[in-house]
Amino acid sequence: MSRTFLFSGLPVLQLIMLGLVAPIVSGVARQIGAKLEGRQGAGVLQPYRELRKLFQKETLEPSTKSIFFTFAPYVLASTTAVISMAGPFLATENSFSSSSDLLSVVGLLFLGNIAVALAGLDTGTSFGGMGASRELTVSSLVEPTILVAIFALSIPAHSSNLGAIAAISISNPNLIFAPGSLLALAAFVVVVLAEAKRFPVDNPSTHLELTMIHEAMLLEYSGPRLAVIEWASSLRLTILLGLIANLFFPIGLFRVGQAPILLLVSCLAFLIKVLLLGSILSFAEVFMAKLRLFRVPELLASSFILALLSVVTSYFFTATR
Amino acid sequence: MSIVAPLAVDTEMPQRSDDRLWYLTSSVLTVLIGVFGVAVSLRMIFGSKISLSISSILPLAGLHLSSDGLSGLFDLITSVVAITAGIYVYPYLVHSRSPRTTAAFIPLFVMTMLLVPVASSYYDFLFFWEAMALVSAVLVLANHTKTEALKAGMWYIFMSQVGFAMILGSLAYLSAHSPTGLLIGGSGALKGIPTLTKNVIFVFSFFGFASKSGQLPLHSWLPKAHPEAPTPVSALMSAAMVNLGIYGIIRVDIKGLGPAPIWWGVLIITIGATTAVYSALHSLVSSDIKRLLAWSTGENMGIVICALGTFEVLKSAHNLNIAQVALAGAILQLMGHSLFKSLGFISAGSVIASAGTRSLDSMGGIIHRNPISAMGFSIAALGATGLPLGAGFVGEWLLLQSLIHTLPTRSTVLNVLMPSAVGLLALTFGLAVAAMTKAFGVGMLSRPRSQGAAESAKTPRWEAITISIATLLCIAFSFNPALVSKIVRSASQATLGVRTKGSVSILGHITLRGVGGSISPLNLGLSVVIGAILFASITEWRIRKKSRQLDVPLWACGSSQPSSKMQYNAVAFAQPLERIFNLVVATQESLGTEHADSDMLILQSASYERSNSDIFETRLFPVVARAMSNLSRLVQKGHSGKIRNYLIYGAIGFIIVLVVAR
Repeated sequence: MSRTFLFSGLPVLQLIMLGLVAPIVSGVARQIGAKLEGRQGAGVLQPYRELRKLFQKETLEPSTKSIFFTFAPYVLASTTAVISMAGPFLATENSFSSSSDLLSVVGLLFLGNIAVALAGLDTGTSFGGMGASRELTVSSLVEPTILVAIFALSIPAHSSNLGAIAAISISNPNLIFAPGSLLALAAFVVVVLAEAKRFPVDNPSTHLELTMIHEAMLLEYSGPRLAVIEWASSLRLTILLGLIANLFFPIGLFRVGQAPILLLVSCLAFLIKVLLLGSILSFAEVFMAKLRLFRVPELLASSFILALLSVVTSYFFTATR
Repeated sequence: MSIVAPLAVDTEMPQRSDDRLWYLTSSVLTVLIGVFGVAVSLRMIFGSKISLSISSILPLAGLHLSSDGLSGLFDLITSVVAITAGIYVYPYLVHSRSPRTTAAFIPLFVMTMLLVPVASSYYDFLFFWEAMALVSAVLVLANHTKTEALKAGMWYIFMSQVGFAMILGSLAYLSAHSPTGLLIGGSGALKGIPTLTKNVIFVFSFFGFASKSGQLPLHSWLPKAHPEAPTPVSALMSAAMVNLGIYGIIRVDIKGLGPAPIWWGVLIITIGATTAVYSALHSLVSSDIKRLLAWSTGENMGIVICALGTFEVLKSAHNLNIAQVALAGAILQLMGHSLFKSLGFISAGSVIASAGTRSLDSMGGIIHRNPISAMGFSIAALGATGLPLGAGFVGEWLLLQSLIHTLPTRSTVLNVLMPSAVGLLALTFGLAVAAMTKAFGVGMLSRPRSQGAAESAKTPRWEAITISIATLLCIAFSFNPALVSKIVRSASQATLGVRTKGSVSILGHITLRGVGGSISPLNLGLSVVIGAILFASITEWRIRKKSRQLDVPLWACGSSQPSSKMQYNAVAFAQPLERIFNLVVATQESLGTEHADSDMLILQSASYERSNSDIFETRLFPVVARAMSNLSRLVQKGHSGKIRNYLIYGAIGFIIVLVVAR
């Protein structure tokens, strides 16, 4: 009885946990970056303060907006929330995990990007259009790479469900060190940087730089809607780091049928892994320069090739075994 | 061309007052044919075989109609498209003051399209196929006074006849070797065809049929002819006629010629996947909204053909269970495409009529003036992206599943081919999303870029009704594909020719039997929609409670309000991706300047032109053309104009015929 309750309650638990933790992940990343650059930093809780501030501010609405401008933040938040409910973040399987299929997760991530890009185009400013165009240039190369990289993992798992992939990696840890998986990991890390709008593709901390991508689309947003976008963006970062953590290093991940107490272990393990990955991310960012916009496709193309190679190797290795 | 020429006179006459009656009749007739088609095709799908033989109607062989689940599927798609496009025929014809010829030929076109899948003998099939090509050629040439339309029509006639010649050659041979001469319901397989001949026939008929679906290398008529045709005809061509190419491939190549060697499937996948990427790229760089949609048709057909190739490969590898998954993917992609593409063309047509332009660079702000058309287009664009909540999602998901579950083989070719197909399809997916975001974001959202767009009229009632019906169909299909579950099963059984349990069950969840894996578009869609509504209500309530400033000026870096010319337009939007893929889309730019004085110091005017060329047209076709003209020069030498030479040719020819026919 309690197990079925747990099974059906897991999606909500995941959403609450990830939703609450998400701002800390970007807070930790920022704080480490600040320390490494010799600055004091605003503390790991700063993102929460910013969300509260934005949520209390008044809203400015441009005269040229349409319903797409109004609703884009909520589509972004909702698609991201659905992924965080369905994905294998705290357990390999839950009552909602039929939606954590590879294609639907990539599709939902893409849908969120498009919603924001359309909002950028909607108001009819040069900045918004520029941001939207660049955003789609990047994501139309990034999403295929995510698709292909995870596809490589799904061939040995014989399923494209992310939970099933994680479960196979737990029961058969050798798979993680298969050449296909390692290539996929390399490709995946590069595209996660691009998808999360971090260095060397985008600069998350600037608002006025000609090379910016994500922030350019958001220029017309203010108040609570901006808060929703900021929250959803940090949730996306957490989700992407969580996917790296649980698809490639599924240590401690809760499986259905285990004692419920192990779920706490799983939460803890997830937290540690994501924060660790976030720290590595900001540590690496300090030593990286942002790429010129037209160098970005070269980076993305190389990660696409890596992903493609990982699928080829998966086919060959699964075939010969 | 001889058929087209006399009609040209008719179209130049001024519009007469009773033209409206013609238009209305055409519209009503098309809808009625559609309704009739839906009724009949549902009967075909739900088991009752329909057959009709009247030997006195058609010359030579007589009329023979027959059906199975496959005919039912294709006729159903055509009929549904005919209903929505048919309602739109009336407002379109009135607005564009089309010639009566167009009005008369639209129902005829629908009729020929409905007859192709039920033609039961080889002869009838070829007859209706050619009738369909000729009737549609007349419709493409409806605006023949425009140079572009005339050129598009010529490309179309040329390519469809080349395709027809290939099909004619191969089907004539098959017909001769078939014991009954029947395509549907003929007893017994084709006998006594040598392997080499069979391969040649496969290659010819495949490329012939694939050209109807806009596949490489005989694709270039599609992005020319579909945009130039009257919009309801574009919808019919893009959402129904291209499907018949797929029908031909299934009926003749997969069902008729099988069992196939593995390289047939490999060829089909290669052509499909390459076309998909190539068309997606061209769709991305198109600034003409109808051309963009036309290229997207080629892309979606590429995905369908890729799924068929996967089916063929898996079937050759005796993996029937997974093969059915690929087949179901192809069928659902086909249905989804027809629904969203007809909606796309109709709503784009209504926008074009009200804004007075086809160029995305002159549109913008449509959502404020013309919300119904813009919303309809957004649903169509969502379908074309293949994203969740859209009509194209389920088909792509099934195709991906079949690729994942392809049993690992020791065949090196397949181990390289399958990953490449996955890569190409993933890239297509990304590019299609960018193209559709551009079409919708630049065309329908943002600020108006021209006078016409700024003053565009509200969607007229007739068009609003059509768009609403098509939108509802699209949404119903994408949220609940279980509606078509029975249709998919009957069509795939007809394709396989055996009664199987079916490895795909489409209910609330789409489940793959035997291999596991399921997805529920309904759950996924509803949770995203409900989630968005929840977030919206909380936040918007908060916004309403706090103060809110409406109509704030746009951010312009401190300067005065940015003019609408300063927005990103369609060309600018696609420029980064165009630059990345320049090798394929081949952009040409030219900058011309004119000076007021002879020393070239004072600039008077500057002009900038750009275009993308189809590399097949610029590289491959000239080579073929040169070879053809060399060949014809050779033939010309034989034409001496002297009677005695011709007598000798005749005698030699007669002897050859005797030797061959002996």
